[in-house]
Amino acid sequence: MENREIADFGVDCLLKAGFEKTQCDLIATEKKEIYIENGKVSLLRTIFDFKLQLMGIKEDKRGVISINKLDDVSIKKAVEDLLEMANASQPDPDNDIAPKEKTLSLSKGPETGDTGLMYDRLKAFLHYQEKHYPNTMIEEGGLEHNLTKHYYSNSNGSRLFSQIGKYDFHFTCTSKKGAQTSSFDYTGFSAGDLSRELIECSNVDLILRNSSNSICTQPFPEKIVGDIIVTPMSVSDVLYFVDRSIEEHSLISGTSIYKEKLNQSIASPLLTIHSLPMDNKLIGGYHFTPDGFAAENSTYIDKGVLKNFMLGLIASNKTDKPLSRNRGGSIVVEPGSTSLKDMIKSVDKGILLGRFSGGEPSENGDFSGVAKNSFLIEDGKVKHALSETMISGNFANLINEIKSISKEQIDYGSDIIPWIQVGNITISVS
Amino acid sequence: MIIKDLNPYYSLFSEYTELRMQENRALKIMAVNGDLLGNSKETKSGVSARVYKNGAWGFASSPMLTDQDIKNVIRSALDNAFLLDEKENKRKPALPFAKKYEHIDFSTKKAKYSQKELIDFVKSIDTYINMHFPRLASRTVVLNSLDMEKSIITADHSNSYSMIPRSLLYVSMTMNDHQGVPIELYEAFGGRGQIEDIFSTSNALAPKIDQLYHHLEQKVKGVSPRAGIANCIMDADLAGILAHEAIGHTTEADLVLAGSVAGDNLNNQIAAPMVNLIDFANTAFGEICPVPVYVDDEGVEAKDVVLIENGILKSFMHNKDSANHFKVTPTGNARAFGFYDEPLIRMRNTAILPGNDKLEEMIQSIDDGYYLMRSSNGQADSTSEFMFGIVLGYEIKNGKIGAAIKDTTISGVAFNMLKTITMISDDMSWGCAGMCGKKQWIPVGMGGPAIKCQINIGGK
Repeated sequence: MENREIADFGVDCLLKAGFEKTQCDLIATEKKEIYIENGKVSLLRTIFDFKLQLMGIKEDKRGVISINKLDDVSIKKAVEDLLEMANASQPDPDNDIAPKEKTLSLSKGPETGDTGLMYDRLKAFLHYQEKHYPNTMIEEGGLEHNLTKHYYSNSNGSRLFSQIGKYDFHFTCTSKKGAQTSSFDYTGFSAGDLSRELIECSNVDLILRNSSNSICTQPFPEKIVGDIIVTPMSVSDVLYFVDRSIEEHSLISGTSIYKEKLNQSIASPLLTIHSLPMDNKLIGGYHFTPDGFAAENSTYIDKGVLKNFMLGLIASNKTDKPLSRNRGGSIVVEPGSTSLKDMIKSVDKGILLGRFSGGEPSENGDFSGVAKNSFLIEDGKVKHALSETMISGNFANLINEIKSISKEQIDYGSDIIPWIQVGNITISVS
Repeated sequence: MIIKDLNPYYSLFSEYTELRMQENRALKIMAVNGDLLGNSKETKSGVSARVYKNGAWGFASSPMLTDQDIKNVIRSALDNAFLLDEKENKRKPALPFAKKYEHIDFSTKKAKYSQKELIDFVKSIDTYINMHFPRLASRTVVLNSLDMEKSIITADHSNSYSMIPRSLLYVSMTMNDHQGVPIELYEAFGGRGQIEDIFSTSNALAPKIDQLYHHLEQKVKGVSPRAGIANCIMDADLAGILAHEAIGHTTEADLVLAGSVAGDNLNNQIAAPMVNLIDFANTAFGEICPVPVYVDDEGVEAKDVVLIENGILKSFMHNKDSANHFKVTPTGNARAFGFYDEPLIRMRNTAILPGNDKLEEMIQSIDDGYYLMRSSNGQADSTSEFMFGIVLGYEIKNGKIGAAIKDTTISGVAFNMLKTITMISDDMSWGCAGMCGKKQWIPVGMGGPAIKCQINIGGK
């Protein structure tokens, strides 16, 4: 059977077994990876896999089973197991599947990876790093081509197909001189082609430069409550808290501090966050949601106002809050009107936060952690790299304390993020 | 079902080759405020081959397990190794020889629970919490299990089969404080073994759940710790994560080669003389460890690695490649999570060894400090600088336990902080739910006694 027929076969088997509502997701993935270890190309890895996920609802009772085999016998056995799981479950009228969507077949990105070009780009990156940043070591990293083919069928007649191909590059580096060692740092990006050298993309050169400049560190001079400039790499920590607070578990369990805040201000008017999985300018993304709705772009925070939750069908039924045809990712934070240079100039004493290494933030947003790969800002200038500097605050307050957002953004291919200046952060030293 | 004997494929190896067949089976049942939101199972199985050619590795895998698929995977891995060798021309020497036969199976001997019995178990825990603790704003109960079944042969004639299961029950409770701010606390119960061997009835867990609730009640009234260096007692959970994150990672030989601070400190005093730390392969103090490894995924017999002895850094953890580089014997630390993953240098069961002190006396010895009991997450650095999230702890005032503290973070430089240790308790315990992320996620064991030390604590 072809993959589309297998997805349909899964739905048919579930219906024949007695399920009333069913869906079958078949995800076929292929990866080609060239891997670096300790500054040398070490591994060429080619893998492929399947994920066949069957979901069935019978008398409002639901179960989900996943296998990575596509033969009739394995699928029928999985259906048999799923029936036992669903029968054992408890009825819940909120269990449901998506209505019939228009047939959808979309593809994006390169279907195959060019192994020779991948190798050449990686070697050029390593040569550049060795020449320009000789004290820096690429601990590990890799350039991959990833292809995902996604077939979705459900018993309401939906037949969806999506294919996404992309290149992904990532690395972790450390710099060392004598007995002094920098903190590790990392970055990565996605691309639709390899037309540019890796060093020219995203913040690759910036991360290598910062690492090289972080071998000799000094502590922050004193404990203060002040400003930090959150670099694009660290903005993801702030976004993680917002994401976690507007997704399904937080809203169903009722622990989200934003559960009653839809269409209300939760952040500075300077902050606008989009999730654009359907935008062809971004690499990757998705064309439909896991519960079978054609995906849509979404603005989660618009000028500080919370505009959407991230709820699938069952979670929407359970919370009586609006369904979202978006599951986050493909994030674009809108740029501001301040240049990074002016942003730095405006800080008397604070931190340029390269990376945040912190504990899981509390439900209420309280956080504390170590400022890694970070630099002292004093009298409007970036000074030395910092050691053992702890920052603490509250993410919910932090997004209200935004002073400026940079004009400049880092384009990670899959996400586009600016620098964000925030105030009222406790900075303490050992 | 995987093929336990892969010997028939040995004749296809023309270079140094590892052939692994693996099946990971996962189960998850989740109840949130009484609603059964999760009822799922996942099985992933497949075959992989890794081939070494003059310092270049080729890897390939397939989810299909027919005779022809296995042959194709070996061929693809070989092709990948030759292609990379041709481009890289490293001319590195052959890998160290290692041969071991082992057959380990921790499958339960009891009758397997039906799905209904498992769901009823989760519901009974949820019902117990709901009935006994009506002040809670939210409760989540999650049962999950992971069985990892592998068979491996290598060109050195190593031949191993293992089935290592782990079963965990997570209980999370949230209570609002007097201002309506949600305060959360959770704990994982369980460990090595299939569910039938780990969990019997909800009654058996009731005292632990009661204790969790008691701690949450205290935390809701908790105070913010003072930011800065403080005298602390780190309980076993924290000592385990310290052993793993702050010290263990710096002594993984691949990170040493990448510039970790441990590389410059072999045979140096990096901790107080009372500190001893071992990465146990499979057995510690006569008991099987939480994540026992007998033969690693390169076919090497797994041996204990003494990382710190009497405060002196003694050795690193190795795979075959790094052992070649350092001219030592491989230690059996090469592990892969899924059939599609290549083995990396990973810890197994990393623990600080017990000392001679009593926990009560350790607490009594502090006039003004903190008793830190549970961590949410942790991260360490090549510099040995570390950070752990703290989700449960108490003030110590005049040698007595005081108010609970709110969530915070501690940090330090391990190679400095370990020298501040002045007391180590005479008991130890293992954490049951460790997962380590390093390209791949993998289960690990972490353990230790309580330790008295000075540490930087975040706060107001």
